[in-house]
Amino acid sequence: MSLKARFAKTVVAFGAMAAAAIVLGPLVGPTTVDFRRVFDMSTPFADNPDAQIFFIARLPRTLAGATVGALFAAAGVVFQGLLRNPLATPFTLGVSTGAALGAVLAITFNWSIGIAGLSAVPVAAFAGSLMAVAIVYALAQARHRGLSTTVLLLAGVTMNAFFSAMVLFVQYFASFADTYRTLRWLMGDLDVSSYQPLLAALPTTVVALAAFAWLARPLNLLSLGPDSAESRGLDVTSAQRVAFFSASLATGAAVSIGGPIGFVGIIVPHLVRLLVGPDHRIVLPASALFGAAFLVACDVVARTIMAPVELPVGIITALIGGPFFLWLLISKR
Amino acid sequence: MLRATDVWFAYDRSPVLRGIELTVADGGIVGILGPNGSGKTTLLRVLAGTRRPQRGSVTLDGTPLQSFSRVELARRMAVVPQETHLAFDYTVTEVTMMGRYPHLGAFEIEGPSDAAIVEEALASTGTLHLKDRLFATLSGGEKQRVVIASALAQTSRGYLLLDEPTASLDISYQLEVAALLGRLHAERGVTIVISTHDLGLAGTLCDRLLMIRAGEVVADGDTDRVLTPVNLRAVFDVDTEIIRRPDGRRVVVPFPPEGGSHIQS
Repeated sequence: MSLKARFAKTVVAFGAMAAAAIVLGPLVGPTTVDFRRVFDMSTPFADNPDAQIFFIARLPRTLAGATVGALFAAAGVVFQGLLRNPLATPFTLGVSTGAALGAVLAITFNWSIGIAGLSAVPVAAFAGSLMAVAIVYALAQARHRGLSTTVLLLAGVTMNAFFSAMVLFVQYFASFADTYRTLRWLMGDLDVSSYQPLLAALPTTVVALAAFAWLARPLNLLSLGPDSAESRGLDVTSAQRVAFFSASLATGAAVSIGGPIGFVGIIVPHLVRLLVGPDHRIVLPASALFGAAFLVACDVVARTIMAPVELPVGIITALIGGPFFLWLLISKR
Repeated sequence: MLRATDVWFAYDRSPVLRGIELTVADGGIVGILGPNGSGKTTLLRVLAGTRRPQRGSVTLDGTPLQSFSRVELARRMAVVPQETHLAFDYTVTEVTMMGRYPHLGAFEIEGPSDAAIVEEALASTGTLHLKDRLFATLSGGEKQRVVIASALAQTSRGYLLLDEPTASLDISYQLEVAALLGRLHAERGVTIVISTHDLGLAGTLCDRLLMIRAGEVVADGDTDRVLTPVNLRAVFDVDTEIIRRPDGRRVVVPFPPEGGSHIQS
Protein backbone atom coordinates (compact mmCIF):
# COMPACT_ATOMS: atom_id res chain seq x y z
CA MET A 1 0.00 0.00 0.00
CA SER A 2 1.31 3.43 -0.91
CA LEU A 3 2.08 5.95 1.80
CA LYS A 4 -0.76 8.18 0.61
CA ALA A 5 -3.29 5.37 1.01
CA ARG A 6 -1.88 4.42 4.43
CA PHE A 7 -2.02 8.07 5.49
CA ALA A 8 -5.64 8.46 4.37
CA LYS A 9 -6.72 5.20 5.99
CA THR A 10 -5.01 6.05 9.29
CA VAL A 11 -6.36 9.59 9.47
CA VAL A 12 -9.91 8.41 8.72
CA ALA A 13 -9.75 5.61 11.30
CA PHE A 14 -8.20 7.66 14.12
CA GLY A 15 -10.23 10.73 13.13
CA ALA A 16 -13.45 8.72 13.52
CA MET A 17 -12.27 7.60 16.93
CA ALA A 18 -11.59 11.21 18.03
CA ALA A 19 -14.91 12.45 16.60
CA ALA A 20 -16.82 9.67 18.34
CA ALA A 21 -15.17 10.49 21.66
CA ILE A 22 -15.96 14.19 21.31
CA VAL A 23 -19.63 13.57 20.43
CA LEU A 24 -20.23 10.79 22.97
CA GLY A 25 -18.17 12.25 25.84
CA PRO A 26 -20.56 15.09 26.74
CA LEU A 27 -23.53 12.68 26.82
CA VAL A 28 -22.11 11.05 29.94
CA GLY A 29 -22.63 12.71 33.31
CA PRO A 30 -24.87 13.03 36.38
CA THR A 31 -27.79 14.26 34.26
CA THR A 32 -28.61 11.98 31.37
CA VAL A 33 -28.62 13.79 28.06
CA ASP A 34 -30.52 12.43 25.09
CA PHE A 35 -28.48 12.40 21.90
CA ARG A 36 -31.44 13.01 19.58
CA ARG A 37 -32.79 15.93 21.60
CA VAL A 38 -29.32 17.60 21.69
CA PHE A 39 -29.31 17.87 17.91
CA ASP A 40 -33.04 18.51 17.61
CA MET A 41 -33.08 21.68 15.52
CA SER A 42 -36.87 22.22 15.77
CA THR A 43 -36.63 23.26 19.45
CA PRO A 44 -35.01 26.66 20.08
CA PHE A 45 -31.73 26.43 22.00
CA ALA A 46 -33.16 28.43 24.95
CA ASP A 47 -35.89 25.81 25.45
CA ASN A 48 -33.65 22.77 24.99
CA PRO A 49 -32.02 21.77 28.30
CA ASP A 50 -30.32 18.76 26.69
CA ALA A 51 -28.56 20.97 24.15
CA GLN A 52 -27.68 23.51 26.86
CA ILE A 53 -26.05 20.89 29.07
CA PHE A 54 -24.28 19.39 26.05
CA PHE A 55 -22.91 22.59 24.49
CA ILE A 56 -22.50 24.90 27.48
CA ALA A 57 -21.77 22.67 30.46
CA ARG A 58 -19.95 19.66 29.01
CA LEU A 59 -18.61 20.27 25.51
CA PRO A 60 -15.95 22.83 26.57
CA ARG A 61 -14.44 20.28 28.94
CA THR A 62 -14.55 17.56 26.30
CA LEU A 63 -12.93 19.80 23.70
CA ALA A 64 -10.31 20.83 26.25
CA GLY A 65 -9.59 17.14 26.84
CA ALA A 66 -9.31 16.53 23.11
CA THR A 67 -6.98 19.50 22.58
CA VAL A 68 -4.76 18.69 25.55
CA GLY A 69 -4.64 14.99 24.61
CA ALA A 70 -3.72 15.79 21.02
CA LEU A 71 -1.01 18.27 22.05
CA PHE A 72 0.58 15.98 24.65
CA ALA A 73 0.55 12.96 22.35
CA ALA A 74 1.99 14.82 19.37
CA ALA A 75 4.54 16.65 21.52
CA GLY A 76 5.57 13.27 22.92
CA VAL A 77 6.21 11.97 19.40
CA VAL A 78 8.31 15.03 18.57
CA PHE A 79 10.37 14.87 21.79
CA GLN A 80 10.99 11.15 21.27
CA GLY A 81 12.16 11.83 17.72
CA LEU A 82 14.26 14.83 18.70
CA LEU A 83 15.99 13.05 21.58
CA ARG A 84 16.12 9.77 19.60
CA ASN A 85 14.76 8.13 22.73
CA PRO A 86 11.42 6.30 22.73
CA LEU A 87 11.10 6.80 26.49
CA ALA A 88 11.13 10.62 26.35
CA THR A 89 7.93 12.43 27.34
CA PRO A 90 6.68 16.02 26.94
CA PHE A 91 7.80 16.56 30.55
CA THR A 92 11.36 15.27 30.14
CA LEU A 93 12.86 18.68 29.33
CA GLY A 94 11.38 20.61 32.25
CA VAL A 95 8.62 22.49 30.41
CA SER A 96 5.84 21.19 32.65
CA THR A 97 7.74 21.75 35.88
CA GLY A 98 8.39 25.33 34.79
CA ALA A 99 4.66 25.67 34.20
CA ALA A 100 4.00 24.15 37.63
CA LEU A 101 6.22 26.74 39.26
CA GLY A 102 4.27 29.50 37.50
CA ALA A 103 0.94 28.01 38.57
CA VAL A 104 2.03 27.51 42.18
CA LEU A 105 3.27 31.10 42.40
CA ALA A 106 -0.02 32.38 41.01
CA ILE A 107 -2.06 30.27 43.43
CA THR A 108 0.04 30.96 46.52
CA PHE A 109 0.43 34.69 46.08
CA ASN A 110 -3.06 35.22 44.67
CA TRP A 111 -1.82 36.86 41.49
CA SER A 112 -4.54 38.56 39.53
CA ILE A 113 -2.84 39.06 36.20
CA GLY A 114 -5.50 38.04 33.71
CA ILE A 115 -4.92 38.17 29.97
CA ALA A 116 -7.64 37.69 27.35
CA GLY A 117 -10.24 36.73 29.91
CA LEU A 118 -8.04 34.01 31.40
CA SER A 119 -7.42 33.73 35.10
CA ALA A 120 -3.94 34.13 36.53
CA VAL A 121 -3.11 30.43 36.92
CA PRO A 122 -3.08 29.37 33.25
CA VAL A 123 -1.31 32.58 32.27
CA ALA A 124 1.35 32.08 34.93
CA ALA A 125 1.67 28.40 33.99
CA PHE A 126 2.24 29.25 30.33
CA ALA A 127 4.74 31.96 31.29
CA GLY A 128 6.53 29.47 33.53
CA SER A 129 6.79 26.96 30.71
CA LEU A 130 8.25 29.61 28.40
CA MET A 131 10.83 30.49 31.04
CA ALA A 132 11.81 26.84 31.40
CA VAL A 133 12.11 26.48 27.61
CA ALA A 134 14.34 29.55 27.39
CA ILE A 135 16.64 28.37 30.20
CA VAL A 136 16.99 24.81 28.91
CA TYR A 137 17.61 26.07 25.37
CA ALA A 138 20.25 28.54 26.53
CA LEU A 139 22.02 25.78 28.48
CA ALA A 140 21.94 23.34 25.56
CA GLN A 141 23.18 26.01 23.20
CA ALA A 142 25.97 27.32 25.40
CA ARG A 143 28.60 24.66 24.84
CA HIS A 144 27.87 23.75 21.24
CA ARG A 145 27.43 25.46 17.92
CA GLY A 146 24.27 23.47 17.25
CA LEU A 147 21.93 21.83 19.69
CA SER A 148 23.35 18.87 21.53
CA THR A 149 20.57 16.48 22.41
CA THR A 150 22.70 15.00 25.19
CA VAL A 151 23.18 18.41 26.80
CA LEU A 152 19.50 19.16 26.14
CA LEU A 153 18.52 16.04 28.06
CA LEU A 154 20.88 16.78 30.95
CA ALA A 155 19.79 20.40 31.15
CA GLY A 156 16.14 19.36 31.04
CA VAL A 157 16.47 16.76 33.78
CA THR A 158 18.45 19.17 35.95
CA MET A 159 15.96 22.00 35.50
CA ASN A 160 13.12 19.57 36.23
CA ALA A 161 14.68 18.81 39.61
CA PHE A 162 15.42 22.47 40.29
CA PHE A 163 11.92 23.69 39.43
CA SER A 164 10.42 20.90 41.57
CA ALA A 165 12.48 22.17 44.50
CA MET A 166 11.21 25.69 43.83
CA VAL A 167 7.63 24.41 43.74
CA LEU A 168 8.11 22.85 47.17
CA PHE A 169 9.81 25.98 48.44
CA VAL A 170 6.89 28.19 47.38
CA GLN A 171 4.37 25.67 48.72
CA TYR A 172 5.98 25.84 52.11
CA PHE A 173 4.63 29.38 52.49
CA ALA A 174 1.16 28.58 51.21
CA SER A 175 -2.01 28.31 53.28
CA PHE A 176 -3.75 24.94 53.55
CA ALA A 177 -6.43 25.99 51.08
CA ASP A 178 -3.82 27.10 48.53
CA THR A 179 -1.80 23.95 49.08
CA TYR A 180 -4.88 21.92 48.30
CA ARG A 181 -5.50 23.92 45.10
CA THR A 182 -1.87 23.48 44.10
CA LEU A 183 -2.02 19.76 44.68
CA ARG A 184 -5.20 19.54 42.62
CA TRP A 185 -3.51 21.44 39.81
CA LEU A 186 -0.41 19.22 39.94
CA MET A 187 -2.58 16.12 39.58
CA GLY A 188 -3.70 17.30 36.17
CA ASP A 189 -7.34 18.28 36.07
CA LEU A 190 -9.51 19.25 33.11
CA ASP A 191 -11.68 21.58 35.14
CA VAL A 192 -12.73 23.68 32.14
CA SER A 193 -16.19 25.22 32.07
CA SER A 194 -15.99 27.75 29.24
CA TYR A 195 -14.59 28.05 25.74
CA GLN A 196 -12.26 30.88 26.84
CA PRO A 197 -9.16 28.77 27.69
CA LEU A 198 -9.52 26.93 24.39
CA LEU A 199 -9.68 30.14 22.38
CA ALA A 200 -6.67 31.48 24.28
CA ALA A 201 -4.65 28.35 23.48
CA LEU A 202 -5.77 28.26 19.84
CA PRO A 203 -2.95 30.36 18.28
CA THR A 204 -0.22 28.35 20.04
CA THR A 205 -1.95 25.11 19.11
CA VAL A 206 -2.19 26.04 15.43
CA VAL A 207 1.45 27.15 15.25
CA ALA A 208 2.65 23.99 17.01
CA LEU A 209 0.59 21.64 14.82
CA ALA A 210 1.78 23.38 11.64
CA ALA A 211 5.37 22.96 12.79
CA PHE A 212 4.67 19.28 13.55
CA ALA A 213 3.38 18.76 10.01
CA TRP A 214 6.64 20.11 8.61
CA LEU A 215 8.69 18.09 11.11
CA ALA A 216 7.37 14.68 10.09
CA ARG A 217 10.02 13.97 7.45
CA PRO A 218 12.93 15.58 9.32
CA LEU A 219 12.11 13.42 12.36
CA ASN A 220 12.32 10.31 10.20
CA LEU A 221 15.82 11.34 9.10
CA LEU A 222 16.90 12.30 12.62
CA SER A 223 16.31 8.75 13.78
CA LEU A 224 19.31 7.78 11.62
CA GLY A 225 21.47 10.10 13.73
CA PRO A 226 22.38 13.74 13.12
CA ASP A 227 25.33 13.14 10.79
CA SER A 228 23.43 10.76 8.53
CA ALA A 229 20.45 13.11 8.49
CA GLU A 230 22.65 16.02 7.50
CA SER A 231 24.33 14.12 4.69
CA ARG A 232 20.87 13.33 3.29
CA GLY A 233 20.20 17.04 2.95
CA LEU A 234 18.53 17.97 6.24
CA ASP A 235 19.53 21.14 8.07
CA VAL A 236 19.77 19.28 11.36
CA THR A 237 20.22 22.23 13.70
CA SER A 238 17.20 24.08 12.31
CA ALA A 239 15.07 20.95 12.44
CA GLN A 240 16.11 20.32 16.05
CA ARG A 241 15.31 23.92 16.97
CA VAL A 242 11.87 23.77 15.34
CA ALA A 243 11.20 20.45 17.07
CA PHE A 244 12.30 21.69 20.49
CA PHE A 245 10.37 24.96 20.39
CA SER A 246 7.17 23.68 18.79
CA ALA A 247 6.92 20.64 21.08
CA SER A 248 7.70 22.81 24.11
CA LEU A 249 5.05 25.38 23.10
CA ALA A 250 2.50 22.61 22.59
CA THR A 251 3.35 21.20 26.01
CA GLY A 252 3.15 24.65 27.62
CA ALA A 253 -0.26 25.33 26.08
CA ALA A 254 -1.58 21.91 27.10
CA VAL A 255 -0.29 22.23 30.66
CA SER A 256 -1.78 25.69 31.02
CA ILE A 257 -5.22 24.24 30.17
CA GLY A 258 -5.16 20.92 31.99
CA GLY A 259 -2.14 20.86 34.27
CA PRO A 260 0.62 18.26 33.94
CA ILE A 261 -1.51 15.26 32.93
CA GLY A 262 1.03 12.47 32.78
CA PHE A 263 1.64 9.51 30.49
CA VAL A 264 -0.54 10.62 27.55
CA GLY A 265 2.62 11.69 25.71
CA ILE A 266 4.18 8.25 26.01
CA ILE A 267 1.30 5.74 25.99
CA VAL A 268 -0.33 7.13 22.85
CA PRO A 269 2.77 7.38 20.61
CA HIS A 270 3.81 3.85 21.54
CA LEU A 271 0.42 2.30 20.87
CA VAL A 272 0.23 4.19 17.59
CA ARG A 273 3.69 2.99 16.49
CA LEU A 274 2.67 -0.58 17.30
CA LEU A 275 -0.37 -0.12 15.05
CA VAL A 276 0.98 1.90 12.12
CA GLY A 277 4.78 1.62 12.18
CA PRO A 278 7.37 4.32 12.88
CA ASP A 279 6.96 6.72 9.89
CA HIS A 280 6.37 10.13 11.51
CA ARG A 281 4.18 11.28 8.64
CA ILE A 282 1.61 8.77 9.85
CA VAL A 283 2.56 8.55 13.54
CA LEU A 284 2.15 12.30 14.16
CA PRO A 285 -1.43 12.81 12.89
CA ALA A 286 -2.50 9.43 14.23
CA SER A 287 -1.07 10.20 17.68
CA ALA A 288 -2.74 13.62 17.80
CA LEU A 289 -6.13 12.12 16.95
CA PHE A 290 -5.72 9.08 19.17
CA GLY A 291 -4.43 11.30 22.00
CA ALA A 292 -7.60 13.40 21.74
CA ALA A 293 -9.83 10.32 21.92
CA PHE A 294 -7.75 8.76 24.71
CA LEU A 295 -7.84 11.76 27.04
CA VAL A 296 -11.57 12.38 26.46
CA ALA A 297 -12.24 8.75 27.32
CA CYS A 298 -10.02 8.92 30.43
CA ASP A 299 -11.85 12.06 31.50
CA VAL A 300 -15.21 10.33 31.14
CA VAL A 301 -13.89 7.59 33.42
CA ALA A 302 -12.54 10.18 35.86
CA ARG A 303 -15.90 11.95 36.00
CA THR A 304 -18.00 8.84 36.46
CA ILE A 305 -16.01 6.13 38.24
CA MET A 306 -16.57 7.62 41.73
CA ALA A 307 -19.55 9.88 40.92
CA PRO A 308 -20.61 12.26 42.31
CA VAL A 309 -16.90 12.78 43.10
CA GLU A 310 -14.94 13.84 40.01
CA LEU A 311 -11.39 12.56 40.07
CA PRO A 312 -8.62 14.57 38.39
CA VAL A 313 -8.00 12.90 35.02
CA GLY A 314 -4.26 12.80 35.74
CA ILE A 315 -4.92 10.06 38.30
CA ILE A 316 -6.61 7.90 35.67
CA THR A 317 -3.88 8.39 33.04
CA ALA A 318 -1.23 7.62 35.66
CA LEU A 319 -3.07 4.47 36.77
CA ILE A 320 -3.08 3.27 33.15
CA GLY A 321 0.32 4.73 32.31
CA GLY A 322 2.43 3.34 35.15
CA PRO A 323 1.88 -0.33 34.34
CA PHE A 324 2.06 0.45 30.61
CA PHE A 325 5.45 2.13 31.05
CA LEU A 326 6.75 -0.89 32.97
CA TRP A 327 5.50 -3.25 30.28
CA LEU A 328 7.28 -1.10 27.71
CA LEU A 329 10.57 -1.25 29.63
CA ILE A 330 10.37 -5.01 30.10
CA SER A 331 9.27 -5.88 26.57
CA LYS A 332 11.89 -3.64 24.91
CA ARG A 333 14.52 -5.75 23.20
CA MET B 1 36.06 16.44 -9.19
CA LEU B 2 36.25 16.75 -5.43
CA ARG B 3 39.25 18.71 -4.23
CA ALA B 4 40.53 19.62 -0.78
CA THR B 5 43.07 22.42 -0.61
CA ASP B 6 45.14 23.08 2.51
CA VAL B 7 42.35 21.88 4.82
CA TRP B 8 42.76 22.61 8.54
CA PHE B 9 40.15 21.54 11.02
CA ALA B 10 39.89 21.46 14.83
CA TYR B 11 36.98 20.39 17.04
CA ASP B 12 38.36 22.48 19.90
CA ARG B 13 41.90 23.80 20.05
CA SER B 14 44.31 21.20 18.72
CA PRO B 15 43.92 20.70 14.97
CA VAL B 16 42.81 17.27 13.78
CA LEU B 17 43.56 18.00 10.13
CA ARG B 18 46.73 19.92 9.26
CA GLY B 19 46.87 21.17 5.71
CA ILE B 20 45.35 18.20 3.87
CA GLU B 21 45.52 18.23 0.06
CA LEU B 22 43.40 15.70 -1.84
CA THR B 23 41.96 15.37 -5.31
CA VAL B 24 39.29 12.81 -6.13
CA ALA B 25 38.75 12.41 -9.87
CA ASP B 26 35.30 11.42 -11.16
CA GLY B 27 34.99 7.67 -11.36
CA GLY B 28 37.89 6.91 -9.04
CA ILE B 29 38.12 4.82 -5.89
CA VAL B 30 40.21 6.70 -3.38
CA GLY B 31 41.19 5.32 -0.01
CA ILE B 32 42.07 7.50 2.97
CA LEU B 33 44.38 5.24 4.91
CA GLY B 34 45.62 5.89 8.41
CA PRO B 35 45.67 4.52 11.96
CA ASN B 36 43.00 5.20 14.58
CA GLY B 37 42.83 8.86 15.51
CA SER B 38 44.67 10.06 12.41
CA GLY B 39 41.74 12.22 11.28
CA LYS B 40 40.21 9.94 8.63
CA THR B 41 36.61 10.29 9.79
CA THR B 42 36.98 14.02 10.26
CA LEU B 43 38.45 14.38 6.76
CA LEU B 44 35.49 12.45 5.36
CA ARG B 45 33.07 14.76 7.18
CA VAL B 46 34.87 17.80 5.80
CA LEU B 47 34.75 16.30 2.29
CA ALA B 48 31.01 15.62 2.75
CA GLY B 49 30.45 19.22 3.82
CA THR B 50 28.97 18.32 7.21
CA ARG B 51 31.97 20.01 8.91
CA ARG B 52 33.47 23.18 7.56
CA PRO B 53 37.26 23.56 7.69
CA GLN B 54 38.62 26.52 9.65
CA ARG B 55 41.25 27.06 6.97
CA GLY B 56 41.45 25.93 3.37
CA SER B 57 38.58 24.83 1.20
CA VAL B 58 36.83 21.87 -0.37
CA THR B 59 35.44 22.28 -3.88
CA LEU B 60 33.13 20.13 -5.95
CA ASP B 61 33.74 20.70 -9.68
CA GLY B 62 35.42 23.98 -8.80
CA THR B 63 32.62 25.34 -6.59
CA PRO B 64 33.21 25.59 -2.84
CA LEU B 65 31.00 23.20 -0.85
CA GLN B 66 29.50 26.01 1.24
CA SER B 67 28.07 27.54 -1.96
CA PHE B 68 25.84 24.49 -2.38
CA SER B 69 22.65 24.15 -0.37
CA ARG B 70 22.45 21.03 1.83
CA VAL B 71 19.93 19.54 -0.54
CA GLU B 72 21.99 20.24 -3.68
CA LEU B 73 25.00 18.65 -2.05
CA ALA B 74 23.00 15.64 -0.86
CA ARG B 75 21.84 14.96 -4.42
CA ARG B 76 25.44 14.60 -5.55
CA MET B 77 27.12 13.11 -2.51
CA ALA B 78 26.04 10.39 -0.07
CA VAL B 79 27.75 9.29 3.12
CA VAL B 80 27.80 5.79 4.60
CA PRO B 81 28.78 5.84 8.27
CA GLN B 82 30.67 3.08 10.04
CA GLU B 83 27.55 1.94 11.84
CA THR B 84 23.89 2.97 11.74
CA HIS B 85 21.62 2.67 14.76
CA LEU B 86 17.99 3.67 14.34
CA ALA B 87 15.95 5.23 17.12
CA PHE B 88 12.78 3.48 15.87
CA ASP B 89 11.91 0.24 14.09
CA TYR B 90 11.96 1.20 10.43
CA THR B 91 11.87 -1.43 7.69
CA VAL B 92 14.63 -1.85 5.13
CA THR B 93 12.47 -0.16 2.48
CA GLU B 94 11.77 2.80 4.78
CA VAL B 95 15.48 3.26 5.53
CA THR B 96 16.37 3.12 1.85
CA MET B 97 13.54 5.55 1.05
CA MET B 98 15.17 8.09 3.38
CA GLY B 99 17.78 8.51 0.65
CA ARG B 100 15.09 10.19 -1.46
CA TYR B 101 14.84 13.07 1.04
CA PRO B 102 16.80 15.66 -1.01
CA HIS B 103 14.71 14.92 -4.11
CA LEU B 104 11.34 15.78 -2.59
CA GLY B 105 9.64 18.99 -1.46
CA ALA B 106 8.88 19.65 2.21
CA PHE B 107 5.41 18.06 2.13
CA GLU B 108 5.87 15.82 -0.89
CA ILE B 109 5.24 12.09 -0.59
CA GLU B 110 7.36 9.53 -2.43
CA GLY B 111 5.76 8.37 -5.67
CA PRO B 112 6.11 5.31 -7.91
CA SER B 113 9.37 6.57 -9.45
CA ASP B 114 10.95 6.84 -6.00
CA ALA B 115 9.74 3.34 -5.17
CA ALA B 116 11.32 2.08 -8.42
CA ILE B 117 14.64 3.78 -7.59
CA VAL B 118 14.61 2.24 -4.11
CA GLU B 119 13.89 -1.25 -5.50
CA GLU B 120 16.71 -0.89 -7.98
CA ALA B 121 19.12 0.26 -5.27
CA LEU B 122 18.15 -2.68 -3.05
CA ALA B 123 18.53 -5.06 -5.98
CA SER B 124 21.99 -3.80 -6.88
CA THR B 125 23.20 -4.26 -3.30
CA GLY B 126 21.65 -7.72 -3.11
CA THR B 127 19.20 -6.79 -0.38
CA LEU B 128 15.89 -6.77 -2.23
CA HIS B 129 14.80 -9.96 -0.46
CA LEU B 130 15.15 -8.12 2.87
CA LYS B 131 12.94 -5.19 1.93
CA ASP B 132 10.14 -5.86 4.40
CA ARG B 133 12.42 -6.86 7.29
CA LEU B 134 13.04 -4.56 10.23
CA PHE B 135 16.44 -2.91 9.83
CA ALA B 136 17.36 -3.61 13.46
CA THR B 137 17.03 -7.38 12.93
CA LEU B 138 19.66 -7.54 10.15
CA SER B 139 23.28 -8.70 10.50
CA GLY B 140 26.04 -6.10 10.41
CA GLY B 141 26.89 -6.87 6.79
CA GLU B 142 23.26 -6.71 5.69
CA LYS B 143 22.79 -3.41 7.49
CA GLN B 144 25.82 -1.94 5.75
CA ARG B 145 24.53 -3.09 2.35
CA VAL B 146 21.12 -1.52 3.06
CA VAL B 147 22.73 1.77 4.08
CA ILE B 148 24.75 1.64 0.83
CA ALA B 149 21.45 1.07 -1.02
CA SER B 150 20.04 4.15 0.73
CA ALA B 151 23.09 6.10 -0.47
CA LEU B 152 22.52 4.86 -4.05
CA ALA B 153 18.87 5.91 -3.85
CA GLN B 154 20.14 9.31 -2.80
CA THR B 155 22.71 9.76 -5.57
CA SER B 156 22.90 7.11 -8.25
CA ARG B 157 25.98 8.32 -10.14
CA GLY B 158 27.49 10.78 -7.70
CA TYR B 159 30.00 10.48 -4.90
CA LEU B 160 29.84 7.77 -2.28
CA LEU B 161 31.79 8.59 0.89
CA LEU B 162 32.21 5.62 3.20
CA ASP B 163 33.58 5.89 6.72
CA GLU B 164 35.38 2.67 7.63
CA PRO B 165 32.65 0.61 5.99
CA THR B 166 34.13 -2.69 7.10
CA ALA B 167 35.61 -1.82 10.49
CA SER B 168 32.87 -3.42 12.58
CA LEU B 169 32.25 -6.44 10.37
CA ASP B 170 33.40 -10.06 10.39
CA ILE B 171 35.92 -11.04 7.74
CA SER B 172 33.33 -12.60 5.42
CA TYR B 173 31.14 -9.49 5.57
CA GLN B 174 34.22 -7.33 5.03
CA LEU B 175 34.96 -9.15 1.79
CA GLU B 176 31.28 -9.02 0.81
CA VAL B 177 31.09 -5.25 1.24
CA ALA B 178 34.41 -4.77 -0.56
CA ALA B 179 33.18 -6.85 -3.49
CA LEU B 180 29.94 -4.88 -3.59
CA LEU B 181 31.79 -1.56 -3.71
CA GLY B 182 34.06 -2.82 -6.50
CA ARG B 183 31.02 -3.94 -8.48
CA LEU B 184 29.11 -0.67 -7.98
CA HIS B 185 32.17 1.22 -9.14
CA ALA B 186 32.61 -0.93 -12.23
CA GLU B 187 28.93 -1.12 -13.21
CA ARG B 188 27.63 2.33 -12.31
CA GLY B 189 30.74 4.46 -12.44
CA VAL B 190 30.12 5.92 -8.98
CA THR B 191 33.05 7.74 -7.45
CA ILE B 192 34.02 6.21 -4.13
CA VAL B 193 35.99 7.66 -1.24
CA ILE B 194 36.71 5.29 1.65
CA SER B 195 38.35 6.00 4.94
CA THR B 196 39.90 2.88 6.35
CA HIS B 197 42.70 1.36 8.36
CA ASP B 198 42.13 -1.95 6.63
CA LEU B 199 45.25 -2.59 4.55
CA GLY B 200 43.58 -5.41 2.65
CA LEU B 201 40.64 -3.24 1.60
CA ALA B 202 42.94 -0.39 0.64
CA GLY B 203 45.22 -2.65 -1.40
CA THR B 204 42.58 -4.58 -3.30
CA LEU B 205 39.86 -2.00 -3.87
CA CYS B 206 41.41 1.46 -4.14
CA ASP B 207 43.16 2.76 -7.24
CA ARG B 208 44.52 5.72 -5.34
CA LEU B 209 45.52 6.19 -1.71
CA LEU B 210 45.99 9.11 0.63
CA MET B 211 47.97 8.05 3.67
CA ILE B 212 47.60 10.27 6.68
CA ARG B 213 49.02 10.30 10.14
CA ALA B 214 48.15 12.79 12.91
CA GLY B 215 46.18 14.89 10.44
CA GLU B 216 49.00 15.27 7.93
CA VAL B 217 49.49 13.70 4.51
CA VAL B 218 52.32 11.16 4.49
CA ALA B 219 51.86 9.89 0.95
CA ASP B 220 49.44 10.44 -1.90
CA GLY B 221 49.21 8.73 -5.27
CA ASP B 222 48.45 5.53 -7.14
CA THR B 223 48.03 2.56 -4.85
CA ASP B 224 51.05 0.82 -6.44
CA ARG B 225 53.33 3.71 -5.65
CA VAL B 226 51.97 4.54 -2.22
CA LEU B 227 51.35 1.15 -0.65
CA THR B 228 54.97 0.41 0.17
CA PRO B 229 56.67 -1.02 3.24
CA VAL B 230 58.42 2.31 3.80
CA ASN B 231 55.17 4.31 3.86
CA LEU B 232 53.33 1.71 5.93
CA ARG B 233 56.16 1.77 8.41
CA ALA B 234 55.88 5.57 8.63
CA VAL B 235 52.11 5.54 9.10
CA PHE B 236 51.34 2.40 11.08
CA ASP B 237 54.68 1.59 12.82
CA VAL B 238 54.67 -1.92 11.41
CA ASP B 239 56.91 -3.78 9.00
CA THR B 240 55.14 -5.29 6.04
CA GLU B 241 55.73 -7.31 2.97
CA ILE B 242 53.64 -6.67 -0.13
CA ILE B 243 52.88 -9.76 -2.16
CA ARG B 244 51.69 -9.40 -5.73
CA ARG B 245 49.28 -12.20 -6.65
CA PRO B 246 49.03 -13.50 -10.23
CA ASP B 247 45.67 -11.70 -10.71
CA GLY B 248 47.31 -8.38 -9.90
CA ARG B 249 45.87 -8.06 -6.40
CA ARG B 250 48.12 -6.85 -3.65
CA VAL B 251 48.29 -8.65 -0.36
CA VAL B 252 49.84 -6.82 2.56
CA VAL B 253 51.39 -9.04 5.17
CA PRO B 254 52.19 -7.15 8.39
CA PHE B 255 54.56 -8.33 11.07
CA PRO B 256 55.74 -6.64 14.25
CA PRO B 257 58.97 -4.62 14.05
CA GLU B 258 61.99 -6.76 14.90
CA GLY B 259 62.83 -6.53 18.56
CA GLY B 260 60.66 -3.45 18.94
CA SER B 261 57.13 -4.67 19.39
CA HIS B 262 54.66 -2.45 21.22
CA ILE B 263 53.79 -5.36 23.44
CA GLN B 264 56.67 -6.82 25.38
CA SER B 265 56.36 -10.55 25.85
